[in-house]
Amino acid sequence: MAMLSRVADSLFWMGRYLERAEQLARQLEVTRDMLVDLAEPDPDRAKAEWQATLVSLCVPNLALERLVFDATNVGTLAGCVGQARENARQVREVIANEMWERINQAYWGLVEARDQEQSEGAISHILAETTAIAATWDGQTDSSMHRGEAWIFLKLGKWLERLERIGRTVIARLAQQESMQSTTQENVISVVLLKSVGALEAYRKLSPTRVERKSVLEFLLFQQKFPRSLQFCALESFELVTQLSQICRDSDAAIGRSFGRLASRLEHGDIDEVLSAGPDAFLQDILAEMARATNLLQRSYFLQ
Amino acid sequence: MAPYHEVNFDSYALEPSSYDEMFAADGGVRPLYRALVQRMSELGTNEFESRQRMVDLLLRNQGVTFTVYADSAGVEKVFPFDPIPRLIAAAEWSRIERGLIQRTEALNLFLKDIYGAQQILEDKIIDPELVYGAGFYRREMVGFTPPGGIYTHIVGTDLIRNKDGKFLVLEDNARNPSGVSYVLGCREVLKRVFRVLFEEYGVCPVEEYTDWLRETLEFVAPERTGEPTAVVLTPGIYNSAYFEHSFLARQMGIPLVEGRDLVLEDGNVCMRTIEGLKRVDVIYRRIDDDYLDPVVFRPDSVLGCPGLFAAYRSGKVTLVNAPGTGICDDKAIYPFVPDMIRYYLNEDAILPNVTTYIAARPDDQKYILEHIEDLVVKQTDASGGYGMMIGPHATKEEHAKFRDLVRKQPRNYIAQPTISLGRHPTYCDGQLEGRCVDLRPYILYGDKIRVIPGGLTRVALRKGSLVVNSSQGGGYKDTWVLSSDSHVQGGEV
Repeated sequence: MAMLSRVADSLFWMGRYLERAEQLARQLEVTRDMLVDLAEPDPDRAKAEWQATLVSLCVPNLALERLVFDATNVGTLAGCVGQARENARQVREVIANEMWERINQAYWGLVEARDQEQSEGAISHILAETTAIAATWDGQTDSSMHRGEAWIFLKLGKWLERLERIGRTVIARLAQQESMQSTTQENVISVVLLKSVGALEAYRKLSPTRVERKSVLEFLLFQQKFPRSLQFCALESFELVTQLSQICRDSDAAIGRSFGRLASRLEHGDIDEVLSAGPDAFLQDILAEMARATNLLQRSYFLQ
Repeated sequence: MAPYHEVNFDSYALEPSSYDEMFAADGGVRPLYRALVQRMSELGTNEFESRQRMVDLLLRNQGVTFTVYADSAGVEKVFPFDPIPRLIAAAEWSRIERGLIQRTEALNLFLKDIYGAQQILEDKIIDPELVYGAGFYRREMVGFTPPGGIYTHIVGTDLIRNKDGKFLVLEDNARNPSGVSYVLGCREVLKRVFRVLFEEYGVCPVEEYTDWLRETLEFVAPERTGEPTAVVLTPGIYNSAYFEHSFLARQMGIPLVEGRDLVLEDGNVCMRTIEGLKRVDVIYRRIDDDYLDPVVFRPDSVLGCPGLFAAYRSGKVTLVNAPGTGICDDKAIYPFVPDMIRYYLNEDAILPNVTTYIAARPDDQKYILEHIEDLVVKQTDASGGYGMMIGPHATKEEHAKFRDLVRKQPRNYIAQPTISLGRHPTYCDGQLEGRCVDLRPYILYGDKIRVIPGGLTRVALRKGSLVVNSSQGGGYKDTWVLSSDSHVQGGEV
C-alpha cells in the first residue's frame, strides 16, 4: 500500500533528528574532554574551543547542562531526541516496535537524568548512553526493516543530516585553523575535527599520512568507503533517491538531477582544486546544493 | 541476595459491604485464586517487587501512555498497572459473553429502528422525548441504514459486581470505546513475567482481537472489486488515546491517518500518499461524530474531512462506528435496554442493569430529590467520571447543587443507588489492599458478534474511591478468563 505523505515526512525527520542527536552527543563529549585539558593552562583557548563547537553544531549559546537537558529548545540533545520521538509516535505503525522502544528509552533516560542531580559523571553517562542507543537503533533498523519506502525516507533523513553536520563541522574547524600560528596547533584542531565526527580511528587505519590538515580534509570530503565522509553520504542519498523514483514513477525528475549533481561533485572532487579555490566556498556550495535537493524532495513527496 | 519475605495476605482487610474477588467473606481464599496466592507467596516480596519494576519498565518503553488535560499542557503519563491478575472462571465468562452478545444485538436493532421506522417509539416502549432530546441523537442518520444494518462495530460495556458477586451492566460505550490496547499491551508483558502461572491457569488468549477487528472492518466495506482499504482515523498525537490508535493500526497492518491526510475526489474519500491519491473504503474513526465533517457537523472542526458524511451516505465509504450510536451511551436511554431486549429479541436480559431513576419521570425525580444523599447522580451525556456526584461522599452544598440541577434539567440527569463495587487485592506501596474494580469487555460486530475473553479491568487506585477512570486516578489489571474450570483446585470456583 502506498505510503501517506505525512508518514514519509515524519520518517524523514525522525532519521534526521536521531542522526543530529548522535552527532550532538559525540561532539559535546569530545569538546568536554578537550576542555578538561585546556581549562587550567589556557582559559582563552578553552573559550574559543567551546565557541567553535557551538558554531559547528549550530546550537544556541547555552550552558552544557542546558544543551543536554533543555527540551524546550529544538537544538539541544533533549530537544532532538524529543523531536525524533514525536515523529516516531506519528509512524509507530510503520516502524518496528524495537525501534520505537529504543527512542523511547533514550527519551526517558534524558528525562530521568534531568530530574536527578546533575553530577559531572551523569552528563558523561547520558551522552555515552544516547550515542549507544542511537547505534543500537541504527542496527535494529538495518536488521529489521523491509527495504521499502519507509526505510528509504528514514535513511535519506539520516544521510542528509550527516552530510550537513559533517559539512558544518568541517567549516567551523577550518575557520578556527585560519587563525592558527603553527602547524602543530593546526594539527591539534584536525584531531578534534576527526574525533568530532567519529572518524579518528578510521583515519589512522586508512590514511597513509599522519594527521595533517590537507589529508584530513581529503579524507572527510572524498573518502570513498568510509560512512562518515561527505562523498559517502551523498552517494548513499543519490542511490536512495534513485530507488525511490523506481517505486514512485511519477516523481519529479529534477530531484534525481539535483541529488546526482551533489553526488558527482563529491565523487569527482579533487583536493588540490578545492584547496586552491578555497575549501570554505566549496563546502558552502555543497551545502546549498544539498538544501536545494532536500527542498525538491519535500515538495514532491511530503507536501502534496 | 535480599532476604526473603513472604507476600503477606494476613494483614489484608476485607470490607464487609462489598464483594472481594479473591477472598470469601470468612477470609478464606476462593478456590479459583488458590494457585495464584500460592505462587505469590513462593515468590516473596523482593522477587515480586522486582518483577513489578520490570513490568513497569516494559510498559513505559512500549509507550503505553495516556495524556491528562487537567493542566494547561497535556502531560503524558504511564497508566498505572497492577501486576496481580484478575481471574474469571470459564462458566461465569460464558454467561457474560452470552449477555453481551444479546445486548449488542438489541442495541443495533434499536439504532436501526430509531433511525428508521421508529416502531419502538410508536409502541410507546420508550418516550420519544428521551430519544430526540439525547445529545448524541443524530438527525442526519435518519433514513440511512449502514452496511449489514450494523451500527456499533465496536462496543465496550462496563460491568460491575454487586455485593453478591453478580455482574451488572453499569453503562454501554457504543461511540468510541477505548482501552483495548492496554489489555493487549499488558497481556504481552505479564505473560513474560508470570509465565508459569499463566500456563497453569490455561488463560484464554486475547491476541486475536486485532485480527477480528480487521475482519470486522473488511466485512463492512462497500462492495467493489479488490481488497478493501481500511484505515484508522486519529485526531493526532496530542489525543489522550493516540497510543491506542497507532497500536491498533500497527497490529492490523493498516494506515493510521489524520483528517489532513484525507480528501474527497469524485465523491470518494482518498488519502494523500507519496504515489498520489488512493481510495479509502472503511474508516475506523477515533474522532467523535461532531468532528467528522465540518460541512455537516461542527463547522470549525479540522480533525475530519469535508464531504466525508456525504460519501458515507452514498455508500462510497463505511464509517466505524456509525455516527449517532452515542445515543446508546446516554444514561437516560440505558434504563430501557432490558426493555429493548424483550421488545426486539423476545428474551429476558441475561445481564441485568443497575437500578436507575430517571429524573425526567416525575415519580423518579421525587425519589431522587428525597434520597440524594444515598444516590449517585449522573449527567446523562457525560462520561469519563465527569459530571457526577456520589451522594454519600459529597458535601451538603453539592447535594443542594445537584437537587437544583435535577429539578431544572431533568432530561440531563439520572440517579442510581450507591453500589459497593466489587474489590480486588491490589499491590499498593508494598502492601496488599482491596481496591474497587470494574470490567470493560470489548464486543466486535462484523459477520458475527464476538467478545474478547476478559477485557479491561480498571482499578480505583485511591483508597476508598469508586471512580476507576484513567483521567481520575485509576489504574488497570490484566483479566484472565480461564479456558476451562476443570483444573481449578477442588473443581469449584
